[in-house]
Amino acid sequence: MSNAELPVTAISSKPRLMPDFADAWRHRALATTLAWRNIKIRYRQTILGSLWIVLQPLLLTGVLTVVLGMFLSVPSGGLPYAVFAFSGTTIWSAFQRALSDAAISLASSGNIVQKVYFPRMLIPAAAVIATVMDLLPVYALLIVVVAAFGLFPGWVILASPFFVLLALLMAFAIGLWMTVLDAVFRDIRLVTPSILQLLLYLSPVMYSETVVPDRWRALYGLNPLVGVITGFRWSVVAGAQPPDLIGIAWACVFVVLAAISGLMLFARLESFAIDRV
Amino acid sequence: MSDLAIEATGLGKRYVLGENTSRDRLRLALRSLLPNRPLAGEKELWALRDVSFSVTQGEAIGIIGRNGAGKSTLLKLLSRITQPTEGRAQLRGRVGTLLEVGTGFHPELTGRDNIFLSGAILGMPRAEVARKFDEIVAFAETERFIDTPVKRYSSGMYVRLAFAVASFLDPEILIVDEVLAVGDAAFERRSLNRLNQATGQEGRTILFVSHNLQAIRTFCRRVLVLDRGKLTFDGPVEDGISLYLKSIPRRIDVRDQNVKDRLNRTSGAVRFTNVTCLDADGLTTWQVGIGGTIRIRFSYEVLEPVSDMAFLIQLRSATTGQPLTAIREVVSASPLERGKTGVLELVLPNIQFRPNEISLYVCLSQADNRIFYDVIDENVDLPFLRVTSTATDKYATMGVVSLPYQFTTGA
Repeated sequence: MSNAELPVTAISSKPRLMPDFADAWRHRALATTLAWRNIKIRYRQTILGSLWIVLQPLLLTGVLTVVLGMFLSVPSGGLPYAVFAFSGTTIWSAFQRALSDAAISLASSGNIVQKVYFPRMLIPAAAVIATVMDLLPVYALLIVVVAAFGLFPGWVILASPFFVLLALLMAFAIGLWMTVLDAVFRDIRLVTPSILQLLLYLSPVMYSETVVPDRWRALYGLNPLVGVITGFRWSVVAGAQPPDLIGIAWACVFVVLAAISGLMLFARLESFAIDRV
Repeated sequence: MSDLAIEATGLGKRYVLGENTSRDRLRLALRSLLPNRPLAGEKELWALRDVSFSVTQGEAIGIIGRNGAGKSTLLKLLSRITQPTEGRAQLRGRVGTLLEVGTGFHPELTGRDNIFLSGAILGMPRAEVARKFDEIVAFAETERFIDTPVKRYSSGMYVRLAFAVASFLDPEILIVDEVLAVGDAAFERRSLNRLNQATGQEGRTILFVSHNLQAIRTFCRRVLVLDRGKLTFDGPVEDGISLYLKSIPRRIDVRDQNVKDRLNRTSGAVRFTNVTCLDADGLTTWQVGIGGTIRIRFSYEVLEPVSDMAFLIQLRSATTGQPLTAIREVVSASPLERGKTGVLELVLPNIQFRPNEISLYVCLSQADNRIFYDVIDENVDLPFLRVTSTATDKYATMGVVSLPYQFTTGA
């Protein structure tokens, strides 16, 4: 083997501005391997395995349909409440799982990150990728349910992966921030559930955003998930309210900003965090 | 382009001591966002400082030094597990690390899954790992268990698999820390052969940390000696080893060494405080020629009252860990009070071991062996007892012991 083809590793005390993307790309196979590992470990010693993943949004949908849909008659933008809620919880639970798994991922990998090197950025990335596997059966079930209600959206369904991608990228970007901080301060994992719960109430998952009074709309729209969730619902359910383009644009801008700042923070604090996991 | 595999310049790693409260952490975390500036007020420890060296492709380099000399820190820096505080290094080629048993293995995953995971960590395509798969499994002798989660492996199987993965997945640079000692002697020999093959025929570069000086001798042509974070020697193996042996203090204070490990394994009611090794003339030494005499002295202190006390010492082969002999004596059949101190002296006249490195395993226990009070072995920084010989006849130095014998010839 000639010397020239070998990858050169430069080790330096100088902090990097951004993670080493070339190195991460060389290790790209690792991201999916780690994701598979996460999934295998999660369902080891379970009986129903990934069925739990389908059950979770289904149960949430059931409760919401009974309590909010039937008892309280919460507006669902003209859609059957069950379909409305199920489409919302599908994308929401993917986001929620991706973010909460990503947030604890670095600290939970202490045994491996302190013994071998690989681009650490792949750890939160793998946590997010693993949720794709969780999402697929739920997504399939959602299509069946929507079709059963006679609300199959047609070609526009091809836009739905874009919204899924947007939700997962958002989870990854915020997850970068949270996981590197969580490795140093475990406070992060303690507040994550509360933040997610607040975010759930502030997102159009269980109610249509038409219930938000006009003068609060702009403020409400600052939640970047609003555009993602309405967009996803529009792409999978016929007759759902079309998304607000500004909301989607804002979600994209938010993802870019959060990702850039998250990557910078990660590059800066990674080594500090690994020494203290 | 040169054929240097590793070039390290002024490497240093600083740890801040006493970073105990969350407030300290917050302060440090905020500061680490800013450019590196000197610390004021904190206690700091340079685990490694100003270390520069270079390694040519295909070299096998041994790294020796006492506990806390910075060996592991150096390996962690070179394998990028932790970032240096100062200095830089350049490595040419993929770097595989074997810093501890089962490095990077996940206990819940099967041997098969872990092999592929390790390959991905090295940045290898799956197909390339698949090509090496059978070779790895055969070398590790884990064919029957390859689809069993590694958490059910014996420690021997675990090490064999970890080693096989690291050495067959062909990183251009292999970094190995004191891991071979866990396997059995036969496996260690095979591992060293494997490493030899990797450097000799395949041109791989190996950095090898070991307390096993014999392994270093057979396997490396050059050593780095570290002492309290500094590189004190870089050159031929024998010179490095004798410098290292000279640096070992004569009266070794073990009172506070690795107390955590000792308390994990024992009740801690009595504590070894000092160990000294003297020759027949009362001079301190950890070397003895065949037929010579040594006295090993152990001081102890009783921390909690005990009902009685026995002393156990095993002399073990430093290479294999196998006990060569053991001696057990009752120190006191009656209770010992808190605060009592004492000295135990073991005299071994007319040593009949063949040239070897001997490690000590020493315990204080209840006379019926039910409760151990303290144990020292590799957990503290005791040197090996070296048995040397000036004999030139190789049959006078071969093997482990010399037996008294008579030999007659008849017509």
